[in-house]
Amino acid sequence: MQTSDILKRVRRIEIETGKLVSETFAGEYLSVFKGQGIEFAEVRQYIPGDDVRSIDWNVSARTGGTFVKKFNEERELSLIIACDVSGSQYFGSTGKFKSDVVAELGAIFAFSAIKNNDKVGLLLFSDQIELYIPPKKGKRHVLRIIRELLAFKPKSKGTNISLCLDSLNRMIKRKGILLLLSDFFASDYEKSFKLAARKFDLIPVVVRDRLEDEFPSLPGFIELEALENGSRAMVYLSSRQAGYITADKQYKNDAALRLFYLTGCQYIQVEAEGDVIEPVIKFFKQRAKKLRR
Amino acid sequence: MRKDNLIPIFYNVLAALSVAAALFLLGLIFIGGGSLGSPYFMLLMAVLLCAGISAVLLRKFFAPAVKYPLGKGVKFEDTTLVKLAKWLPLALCITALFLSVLALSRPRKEGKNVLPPAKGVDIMLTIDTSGSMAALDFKPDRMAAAKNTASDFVDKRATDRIGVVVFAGSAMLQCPLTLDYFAVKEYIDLINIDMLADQLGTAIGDAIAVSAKHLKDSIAKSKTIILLTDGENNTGMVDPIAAAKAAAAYGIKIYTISIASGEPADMKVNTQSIFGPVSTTTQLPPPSPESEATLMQIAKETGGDFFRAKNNAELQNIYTRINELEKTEFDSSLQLNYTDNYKPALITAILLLVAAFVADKFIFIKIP
Repeated sequence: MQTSDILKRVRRIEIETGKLVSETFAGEYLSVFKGQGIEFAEVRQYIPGDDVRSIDWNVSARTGGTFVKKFNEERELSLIIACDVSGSQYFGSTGKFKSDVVAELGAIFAFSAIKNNDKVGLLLFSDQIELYIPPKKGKRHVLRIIRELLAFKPKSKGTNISLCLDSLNRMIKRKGILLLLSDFFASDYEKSFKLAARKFDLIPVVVRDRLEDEFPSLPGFIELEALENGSRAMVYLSSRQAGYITADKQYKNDAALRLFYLTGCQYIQVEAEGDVIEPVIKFFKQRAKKLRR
Repeated sequence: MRKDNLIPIFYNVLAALSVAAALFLLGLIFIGGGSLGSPYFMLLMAVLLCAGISAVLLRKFFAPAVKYPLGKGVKFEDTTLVKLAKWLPLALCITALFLSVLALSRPRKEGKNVLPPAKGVDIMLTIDTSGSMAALDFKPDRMAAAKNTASDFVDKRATDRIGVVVFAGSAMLQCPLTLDYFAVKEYIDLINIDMLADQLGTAIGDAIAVSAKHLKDSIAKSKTIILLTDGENNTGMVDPIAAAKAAAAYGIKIYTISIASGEPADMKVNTQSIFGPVSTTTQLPPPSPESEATLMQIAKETGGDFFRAKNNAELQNIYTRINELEKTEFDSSLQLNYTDNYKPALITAILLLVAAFVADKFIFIKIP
C-alpha cells in the first residue's frame, strides 16, 4: 500500500468517525466509561443558581462570604486498543477484510477517547506482540494509531490471545478500558481473559465474515489456502467436509461467547459485510442501560 | 518434505507414469506395425511427461485458491470427488497433448512396392475405324474385338506411355501418349465406327503420319506404332510406304495387324430409306493380297512385324506376342508407400481436449 494511499484512508476514517463521535457517541462514551472517582478542583464564590448543597460552610465561615466547593470527575482514563493482526484477519468475502473493519472500529474508539480527553494506546498482536504504542493523548497520536492499524505488516500469522492479555496485565498498572478486537479463532486463552476482565474494563469485539459461518451450498468446489500457514484444502461446497470447516469456527465462536458471558463482559459482534457502526451503538445503549440499573 | 506428504506424490507420479505407458501402448496400436514419419517429435513426449509430473507436484504453488482462515491444524484427506475435480481435467488435457504429439510424429502404415524404371516404351495404338470394321467375322464384330484386345494389351503394360490414334478416310489423335491407363482405356472404349467424318476409305499412310508425328519428339528408348487395320490403303494424302520410311527415320517401329478372317464376311449396314433407318446385311470381300503386302512392307521398312489375325484368339495372341517383343526391362528397386495414419490420434486428442474443457468448466466448477 502506498503511503499517500494510507494517508488518504486515515483521513477518510478521521472524517467519518470524527463526525460519528461528535454526533452519535458524544454523550454515550462519557457516560458509559466512568472515571475512577471525583477530585477537588476549586472553591469559588457562590452565585445564584448554584446548588445550595454544594456550599462549603467551613470556608464560608472563615472568609465571611459564601463559597461553593467544585469537584471534577476524574477522567484520565486510558483506552488500550488490542488488535489481532494474525493471518486470519486478512480475509473478507465482501470487499472488506476483517482487518479493515478492525481498523475502523479502532478509529471510532480512539477518536471517542481523545474527544473525552482520555489516553489511547495500541497493541497489535499475532502469536507474538507485534507492536505496542503506550497510551497518550493528542490527535497526532490517534492518527498514528490509525495509520498503524491500516498499514501494519505483521511478522507472524498465528494467534495467541493469552500472550497479549498476559502482557497487558503485566504492563498496564492503572485500571483502564481494554478493547480486544479479534476473531477469537484461538484457544487456551480463558485464564488470561478472566484475569484481564478483572483488571480492565474489558470489551471484546468479535469480527467475523459471513463465509466463516457457512459456505454457500453450491454444486462446485472451492480450493482454500490457509492464511495461517499456507496449507491447502479443496472441498466440495455442499459436502460434509465444508461443514466441518465452518463448524470449527462456530465452535470457537460459541466458546468465546460463553466466556464473555461467564466473565460478565459485554461484547460487540461485527460482521465484516454489514454496518460497522450499528453494533457499536447497540453496545453503548445496552451498556448505558446496565449502568443505570 | 514430510513423509506423509511424499506418499500421495508418489502415487501421483505412479499414476502419471502408468498413463504414459498406456499412451505408449495406444501409440503402438495406432501405428499398427508401421513407423513414424518424424520420430524426433516423440522427444516432446519426455517434455510432456516432465510437464505433467511438475503440474502434479507444483499444483499447490500455481492453482488459484481462496485465502481463508482455515486454522492451523486443519488437514484434509481429499475425497474421491475432490480428487476427480483436481486431476481429471489435467489428466485429460495431458493425454490429449500426448496424443497430439503422437499425431505430430506422423504414425504411418508401410506398403512395399516395386519402383518402375525411369523410361519405358512409347506405344501408339493406331486403330482402323472405317466402315468395314463393322464386319461380323470377329465376335461380336471387328471393332469390338479390336477395342477389347487393345484394352487388354494396355492392362499388361506397366511403365509405357500409350496413345491412341484412330483413322478411316483421315486420321485423328484419340488419346495422346500418357501413363494414365485408365484414361487410355476410357478413350479406347469411346472408339466407334462413326466417329470420323469420312468413315469411307482407309488412309493408312495418314494414320502412320499422324502416329509418327506424336511419337517423333518422344525421348523414350523405343517408339512403337501398333497399326490395326482390315483393308488396303485407298485414300489419304500420304503414301503408306513413304510414311513408314519417314517413321523409320525417326526410329519408330511399326507392328502391323491385319484383322480379317480372309473369307467374305457379313456386315450390317444401316441405310436411310424413305421409311426410316433400315439395317441390311451385305457381303464384304476379303482383303486383297496387295493390301497385306503393303502392311508387310511397312513392318519391314521399320523393323517391326506383320501379323494376320483371322479370329479373336489369334488377335489376342498377336497382342501377347507384341507385348513380349516390346518387353521393358525392370530395374527391381523397392518403393515404400506410406499411408499417414495420424487421424485417429488427432481426433481422439481433440475429443479429449473438449472433454477436459467440459469437465473443468461445466462439471467440476471450481470457485477461485
